[in-house]
Amino acid sequence: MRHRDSSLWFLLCLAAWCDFAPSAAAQAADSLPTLTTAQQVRELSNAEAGRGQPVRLRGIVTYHDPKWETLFVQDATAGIYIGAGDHSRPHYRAGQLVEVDGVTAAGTFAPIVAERRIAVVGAAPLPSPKAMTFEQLATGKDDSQWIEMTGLVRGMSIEWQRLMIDISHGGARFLAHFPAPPSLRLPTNLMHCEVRLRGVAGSVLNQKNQLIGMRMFVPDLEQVTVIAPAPADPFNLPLLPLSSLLGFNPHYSSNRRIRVAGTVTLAWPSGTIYVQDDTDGLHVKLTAMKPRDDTSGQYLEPPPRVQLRPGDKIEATGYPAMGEFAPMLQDAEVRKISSGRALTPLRLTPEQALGGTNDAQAVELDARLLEISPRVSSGPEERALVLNSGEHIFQAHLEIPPNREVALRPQSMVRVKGVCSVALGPRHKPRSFRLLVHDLADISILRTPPWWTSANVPKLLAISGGIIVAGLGWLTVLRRQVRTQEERIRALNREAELQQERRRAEAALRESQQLLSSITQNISEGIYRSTPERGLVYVNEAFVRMFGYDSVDEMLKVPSARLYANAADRAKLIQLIENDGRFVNQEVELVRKDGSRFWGLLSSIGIYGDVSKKPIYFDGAISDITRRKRMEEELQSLNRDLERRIEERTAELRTSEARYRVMLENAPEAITVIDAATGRFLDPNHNTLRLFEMERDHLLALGPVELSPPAQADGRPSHEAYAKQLKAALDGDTPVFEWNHLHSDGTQFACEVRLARLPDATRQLVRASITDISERKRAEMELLKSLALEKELNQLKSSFVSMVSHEFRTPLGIIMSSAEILQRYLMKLTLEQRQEQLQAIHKSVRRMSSLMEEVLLLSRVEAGHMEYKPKAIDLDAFCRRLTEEVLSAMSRQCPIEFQPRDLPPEAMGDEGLLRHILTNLLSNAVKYSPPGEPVRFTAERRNGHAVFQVEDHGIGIPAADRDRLFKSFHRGQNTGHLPGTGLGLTIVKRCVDLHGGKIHVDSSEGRGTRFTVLLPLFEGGGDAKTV
Amino acid sequence: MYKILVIEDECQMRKNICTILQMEEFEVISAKDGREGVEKALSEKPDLILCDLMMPELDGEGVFEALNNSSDDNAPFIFLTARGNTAFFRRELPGGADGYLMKPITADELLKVVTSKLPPDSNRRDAETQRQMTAEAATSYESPKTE
Repeated sequence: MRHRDSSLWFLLCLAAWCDFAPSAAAQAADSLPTLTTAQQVRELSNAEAGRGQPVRLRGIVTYHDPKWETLFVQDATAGIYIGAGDHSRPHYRAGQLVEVDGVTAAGTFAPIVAERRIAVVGAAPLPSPKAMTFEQLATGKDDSQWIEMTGLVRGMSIEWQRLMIDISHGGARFLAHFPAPPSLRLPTNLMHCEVRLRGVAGSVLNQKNQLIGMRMFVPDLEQVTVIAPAPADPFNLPLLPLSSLLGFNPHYSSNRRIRVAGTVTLAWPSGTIYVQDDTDGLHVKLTAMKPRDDTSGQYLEPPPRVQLRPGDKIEATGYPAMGEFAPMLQDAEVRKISSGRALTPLRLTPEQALGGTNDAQAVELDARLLEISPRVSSGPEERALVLNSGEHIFQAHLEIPPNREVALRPQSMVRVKGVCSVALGPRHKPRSFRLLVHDLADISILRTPPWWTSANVPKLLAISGGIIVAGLGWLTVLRRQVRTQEERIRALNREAELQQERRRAEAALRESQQLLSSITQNISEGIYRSTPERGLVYVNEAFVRMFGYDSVDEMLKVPSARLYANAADRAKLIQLIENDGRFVNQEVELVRKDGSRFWGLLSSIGIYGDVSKKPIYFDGAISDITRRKRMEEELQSLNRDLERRIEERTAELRTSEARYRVMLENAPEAITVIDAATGRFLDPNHNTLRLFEMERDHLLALGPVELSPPAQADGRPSHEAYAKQLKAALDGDTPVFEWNHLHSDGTQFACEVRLARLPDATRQLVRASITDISERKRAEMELLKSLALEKELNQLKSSFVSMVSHEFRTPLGIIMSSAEILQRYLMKLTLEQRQEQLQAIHKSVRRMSSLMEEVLLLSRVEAGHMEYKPKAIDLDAFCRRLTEEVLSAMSRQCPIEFQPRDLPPEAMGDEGLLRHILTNLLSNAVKYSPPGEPVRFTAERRNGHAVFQVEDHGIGIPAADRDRLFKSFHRGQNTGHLPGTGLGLTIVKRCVDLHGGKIHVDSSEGRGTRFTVLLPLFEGGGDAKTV
Repeated sequence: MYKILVIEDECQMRKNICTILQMEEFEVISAKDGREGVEKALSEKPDLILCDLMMPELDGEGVFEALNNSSDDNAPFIFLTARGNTAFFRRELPGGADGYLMKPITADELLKVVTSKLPPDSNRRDAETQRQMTAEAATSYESPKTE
């Protein structure tokens, strides 16, 4: 919406406007002279103003919006914007004379004054405004000045506590801003009026602080004068033929709405409508608006759309405006007159369409579909079809609902029905045209696209011929190459086979030698062969390195026994080999050349000769496992350490758990754990048991949902609601919520529950802390009740004030005017006239004093000063006397028919109370009955009670008022201008209560009312009471 | 002589306004509610209308609207109101209404507003002079007599 956009932009501008830094510049500016007029400030450049030169001005407030801190002051020389200081400002009114003490500052557009102090020194008339045209305003040089503009009210809204009125002036539009207190309603009476506005000229700036538009700041609606009122009902205007729009007309004004009629030729959901009459077609744009309330303000919004179809006859009113090629109707309102058949479109060629005479009319064209524009959004949208006919290419536009697809194939011949819309080229000649199509159904397919088109056949032939020739050539080349290659491959193959044979044999031999050497020399294990007699006969390099000798030869000279740290080990190993022929992985401590020891892992196998039973060789391998040994030892030590620490931690945990257990058990809340998988309680503390009044075992078999009513206060099923909270807790939240739980006896109580997930690797555990808040809830209720009472008292007070001002003003007014008449015209008045005026004064005084009496009486009742003082009464005589009194006081407006039934001669009651009860009921009955309509009054004895009934055929009491019937100052909605305080029935009710009785009312609006009062007047009377 | 229509539902108030205006040599017609007021305004073509704002059936604003919708050259229209807040009423003054009078109305205020809304007219000036003369005569004549 236009207004919204501009208001957001206004926010930005205003924020930028106020962006100055007076304090920073203030020190540097002390030496500068003080400026005393606004014009002096305006003549500074923004850079000079930024130095914070002191300013002392005396001027008139022209605009102040306290909500936006927008303040303009104008002195004899010029108007200027006053930027706010740190403190909050009072609400200045336009016309207040103020003294502004401040410093200059750079504004975003023009220099401004930054406020230090503002003093109101009086009031003065607003300056005489400078009458402006929009063109003058658009120069920007009168920014901040008090000006006058005229224009037509085209729209309005209240947003952000600001009223904005959309004004059209000549061809331009601008917004007038007004401060809007919450009570202000949209001044819709100004809609479509031509008005004169007085206010402060303002600018609309872009992000680069350049002028892009104008606005006005108008202090209040008093500055708006209606020059020409809006026509009462534009639908009463004379009908104009469509062809006459924007033609020559001496009485024409673009600010006046016109009325046209025609047949709909196009109606798009977006609000574009075309109509056509016998003379021409017309583009109608629907934007006329009605007021609407919103939470953020009040707006005007378009009236509900009339569903229109081509063929519908409609009437439209709106502002004529220049369209692209032809006139159009803006801000239009539309009324549907009748339905009908769609107009037969005019068949055209593209040349005729370009002639321009058929613009805005229903036409029909045949063309070839070239292309369909792709869909760009999911909403209803305008799609364009590109069409071709002869040498012309043109477009057809339609609005397509999101769920519909255009099932047309390019190259189809189509017939398109639509509204012709012509676009202008240079020198106002038609340049192009397009067809606006109401619905997809208006495009019919004449012919689907053929496969063999005349253009396609030669193209296809040429392409296939080319492919065949190229294929044949390639085949010949390939065949020749293949033959040459085959011969070369055969020769190579023969040679390769011979060589391969030889190489394979050599490689096998080398490989087996390398294998042995590689195994023995490169592995990290020591490999050896020894004989029982000679000791070592072969060792590998690794063996030599392991024992720390320099060469294999040196090693082979060392006796085997020297290599063992313990001789017993060697004997054991020899024993093993003799028994089993082998040993595997024996750990043995060995000795190096330098005498140091190391651990070796030995495996060996005996090699037997053909004859001997004893092994002739021992082949074996040794690996140095010193490191492994050391690591094993370290590991063992680590293990021992770990075990010790685990023991320590377990002990710590036990203490900590005990500590937390004590904390848990002594916490003031009920704290428990819930297993989310089962929904059961797991670890309730003592307070949980106490809260639910349950044994531990019993509680552990239940969960929170079992201990809740089926549904919560908001109506949600408990299991669903709790599951949701549990999930939130498991997701990492810490939900806090109010919950109704059940005691073991089934009574409900309100709780506040806090959930939090408990860390646990295997289970989904949630900690719940439950606080009983029923006490708090009760306190809240008490508070609400006492607030309501206070509100009621306030209401009573304001009711009293409004009753007094309303009921006293009329008699006071009469007394005053009658007295004045007597004073001014005494000699001209006849004797009867003087008498009449005196009587009027007397009657009014009586009316006021009786109102006064009622108020005083109520205050006595309320203060408890009335008491029940029974004494013997002759009811029959008493009632007759009262009837006569009321008849006389009411000038016998209606007869009262008193009917006593079986009244005993004596009753016990309080005459004073009884008098208040009955006179009020009787005078009410007379007051609200048509003159002459009898009022029935009965009194009878029913057991110990006297029953009084007062029945009338008056205006009755509306059902809506019956609840508050006995409330002070409340009067029925249908009492109209009949005088009254709204106290009579309150007094009656209090008196009946004091008398220990009951009152009952039957009434139907427009037909009459019957009051029944029961009082214990017999057998010793009722209980004495004081209210 | 100007013709003034007084629309006021309170009987005595209506009588008193009529009396004051008659004493000032205006031709006065009156209506007891809005509906009758609209009828009389259309049939009698008064030169000025005084109309109470709060009335049962058709209120003052209703009368004003009805008259505005039915004809273009309307007589000056002045509201009589008992509402407490001047500023509040001024903002709500229907577009085109010519003024308002706050109740209780004094004769001076009434005559000031009425004469300011009517074009000057020679008969009227005569009536004013006459009234002043009568008033002077009345005081000079009255003071010894009331002793």
